[in-house]
Amino acid sequence: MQNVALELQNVSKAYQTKGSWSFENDRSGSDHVSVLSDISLAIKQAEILVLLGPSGSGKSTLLRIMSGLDQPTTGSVKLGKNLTASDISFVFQQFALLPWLSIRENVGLGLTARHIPRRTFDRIVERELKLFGLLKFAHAYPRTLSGGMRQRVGIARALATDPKIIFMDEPFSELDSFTATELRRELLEIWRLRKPTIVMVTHLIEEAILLSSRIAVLTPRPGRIERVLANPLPRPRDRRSPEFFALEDKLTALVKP
Amino acid sequence: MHAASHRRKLGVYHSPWHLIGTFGLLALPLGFLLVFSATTKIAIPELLADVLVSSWRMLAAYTIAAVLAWLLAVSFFRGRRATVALPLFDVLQSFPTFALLPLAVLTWGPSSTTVILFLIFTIVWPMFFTILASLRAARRDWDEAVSIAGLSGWDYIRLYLFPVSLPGLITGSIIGIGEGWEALVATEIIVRTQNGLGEFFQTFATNPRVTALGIFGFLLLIFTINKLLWLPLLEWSHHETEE
Repeated sequence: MQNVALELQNVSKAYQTKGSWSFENDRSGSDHVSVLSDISLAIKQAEILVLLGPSGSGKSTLLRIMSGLDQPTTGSVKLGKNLTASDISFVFQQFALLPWLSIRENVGLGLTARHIPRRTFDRIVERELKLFGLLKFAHAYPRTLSGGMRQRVGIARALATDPKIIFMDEPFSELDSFTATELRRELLEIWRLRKPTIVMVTHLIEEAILLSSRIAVLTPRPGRIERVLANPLPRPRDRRSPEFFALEDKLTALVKP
Repeated sequence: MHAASHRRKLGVYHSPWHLIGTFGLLALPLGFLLVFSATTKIAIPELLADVLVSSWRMLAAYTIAAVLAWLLAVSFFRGRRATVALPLFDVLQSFPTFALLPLAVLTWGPSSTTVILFLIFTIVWPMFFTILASLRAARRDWDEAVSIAGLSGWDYIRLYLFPVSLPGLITGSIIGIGEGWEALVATEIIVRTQNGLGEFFQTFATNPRVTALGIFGFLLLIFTINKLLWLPLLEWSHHETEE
């Protein structure tokens, strides 16, 4: 487990479709639908692993299982050495900010849970707000912010607890392309400075190539690991380079609708 | 941002004028009380005493019912427990509690305890089901964000469960108290309490003019409480959970 942040062994997930209490793996004609099948994967510390696959391939379910938000039907998920559940954070597709809390309170949610002293709380929250240019909105409420700013708050909240692993579920899919580009750039800069492990779900091949250290391609339902590719392109990545296009072609051939 | 901080300072009221105007409504039932007293020759302290006794019974029953409904709702709003318990609660809310009224009178007599107990049964169910609806309508990713943050204990209640349940708590209060007033008067009349609004209507049962004026004053009181408290609270609670 040296240098491994998270390890999945033979993870499968099935959902019940009819009213039965029993829970078994998918069989033809059964009342269960299999979403993920036999996934084994080791995620290295300080890498950006992107889960890429078509809609319905179970990417988000896999991410939720990795983060502990959902349980696998079979198989196991193990955190790396010295890592605990409090080293994990999550960035949600639709931001998931609590509308009754101010931006400052939202960013400090994990710190509140950890009973961080007031002075340290203020210092950390201010640092994260400053990093994302949100300082003047500290006492505003989420409804007053644009989508891009809300997701900045979502990322700031995820970073505030200094997590070792950050899970991101299509974090830029609700944003316009200009804002998404800007946020990808900010995310890469933060990753360069702090080096957390990032596991991100996307269905955009270009986004996967721009951000990833490695890309795990999932098959259509039930999701299996089709292939795990290392991304050899040097950073910062030039999306007009022949190597970028070559990798894009390779992934396009791998991702089956 | 300015509007948001402005709203904070005044709580549920939009502006100083909204606050003054709303509290100015208090003049309505008080003024009516004077007119009522002058027209019917019933002394104001006597009228006030009945209103206050019934209001205190209502307040006591509402407080107990609200706490009980909230505790039940947060305990049973999800998971296996909800599947098992909700049909049971649905049956319980349909239980004809007034069938137990003679037994309650035998036990506690025509007392405030009897009235409050039956009021609790009336108020608790609409509150329980509206709080439950609020909790179940909460976005799943809010719950997940709170879970990932690691909120637990009192922080989980004050920063998540309570704000999420607030719209249901307020809607349930409006419905519960609405039904509660009716049950209050009915219970006070049936058990023949020595005071309260039920006793007032019982005393003047043969005087249509006093009864009509009493009902009008009663409606005025309910209208004032709604305008003063519940409607601003309802609007505020929805605003709080609005994204």
